[in-house]
Amino acid sequence: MGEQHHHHDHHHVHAPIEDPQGPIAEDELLEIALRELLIERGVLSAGAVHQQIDAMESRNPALGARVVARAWTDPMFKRALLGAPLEAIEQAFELPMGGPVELKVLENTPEVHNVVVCTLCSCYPRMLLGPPPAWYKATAYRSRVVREPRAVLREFGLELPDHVEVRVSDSTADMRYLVLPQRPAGTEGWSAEALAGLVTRDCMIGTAVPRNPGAGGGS
Amino acid sequence: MISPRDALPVGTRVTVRLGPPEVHCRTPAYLRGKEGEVIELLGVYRNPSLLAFNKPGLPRLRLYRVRFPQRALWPKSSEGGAASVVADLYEHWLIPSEDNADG
Amino acid sequence: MTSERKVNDVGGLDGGSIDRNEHPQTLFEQRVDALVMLLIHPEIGAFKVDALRRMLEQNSPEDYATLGYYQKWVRAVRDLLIEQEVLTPEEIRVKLAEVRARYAEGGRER
Repeated sequence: MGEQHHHHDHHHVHAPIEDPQGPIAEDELLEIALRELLIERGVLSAGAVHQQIDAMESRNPALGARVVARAWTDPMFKRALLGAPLEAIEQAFELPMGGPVELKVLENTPEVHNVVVCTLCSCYPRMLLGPPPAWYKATAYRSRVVREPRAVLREFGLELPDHVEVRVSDSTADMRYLVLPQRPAGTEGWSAEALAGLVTRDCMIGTAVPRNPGAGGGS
Repeated sequence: MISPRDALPVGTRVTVRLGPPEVHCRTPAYLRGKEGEVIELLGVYRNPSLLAFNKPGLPRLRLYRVRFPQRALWPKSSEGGAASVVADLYEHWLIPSEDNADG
Repeated sequence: MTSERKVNDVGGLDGGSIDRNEHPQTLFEQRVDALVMLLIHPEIGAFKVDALRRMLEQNSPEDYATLGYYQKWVRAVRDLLIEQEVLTPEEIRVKLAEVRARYAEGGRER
């Protein structure tokens, strides 16, 4: 009912892989059919689908970046984050984090650089970062990063010294992993907001590290 | 309900069973038969190979983080530098190695 | 090396080059995603996420490699809803025909 006016329809405009004017694909028809049947049977409400889409849009890398920046600037929060991440985030950012899976934060150090993968499917800290990028779900990254992590990181533009242990966490169970990157040098006194601007999604997966653009391309 | 075997202490060397894999199996093939070290006990969790058939997943199983040095997984790899894989593995897939110090 | 490897169990294989192209989620992708998240939520509990994974692992190697991520998801959802007797194959067939006809006429969703 009234779906044609739903504001999410604008996403079709940005979608490169489908033409809203063209014939609708079989799997799109299947999704519509299943959804309509589930609504008719009272299993779902139409509103619940919209609410879920909105809720997912509130989870994105900008949120993760704020969490990281907060950890860099607030030692108490960092301790709470490393101990009980979901509770710490829930309290500090007033976002519900309860769900079927848990979160663990992996802190990068001068000795250990963490990278996250799910070789079996596509487990990802969605409650914080939203849905994973396509490459994270695709076979190439999942197959290679456990075998040749340094070659993979090099493809992402990240070269690490030999003595740094590249530690690849394979999310094989219901624990999700978020990388807490090291705070870049030369950012003393920066606001949490400015620091968050350095933290990209890939920094929290471990395929990048935050860079201080003013630091003259060092290290 | 927790399975009766004692928890493996952090630092225990373990070998991942070769198989047989469950129909829905969360122990990846590339780790089977490999030796690693327990670095953390995450807790007890419902058994995913039973949850996959919409069963309650009991008894719960201990879940460990196990670290595998890169060389233990890919002895022929030409990739230099320090590296490791850490995976979350359920207890029934792990056999404590014979040569653990106080085993 | 080891016994049995399911289609999804790709760790350590020769994966080729990583395609880092990205696009924002399409409406279809968002909807399938939302559908799954709602159906696995304990409040509805139509099936467990583990069961979704089991279904996805049953894809043929060809389908696993070529179908889109959310194409695989929506088909797995269909199969699980039938398996768990939430919907029947006949109901789905009839509804799908109705939806297809509606779109063939140039109609929009209700």
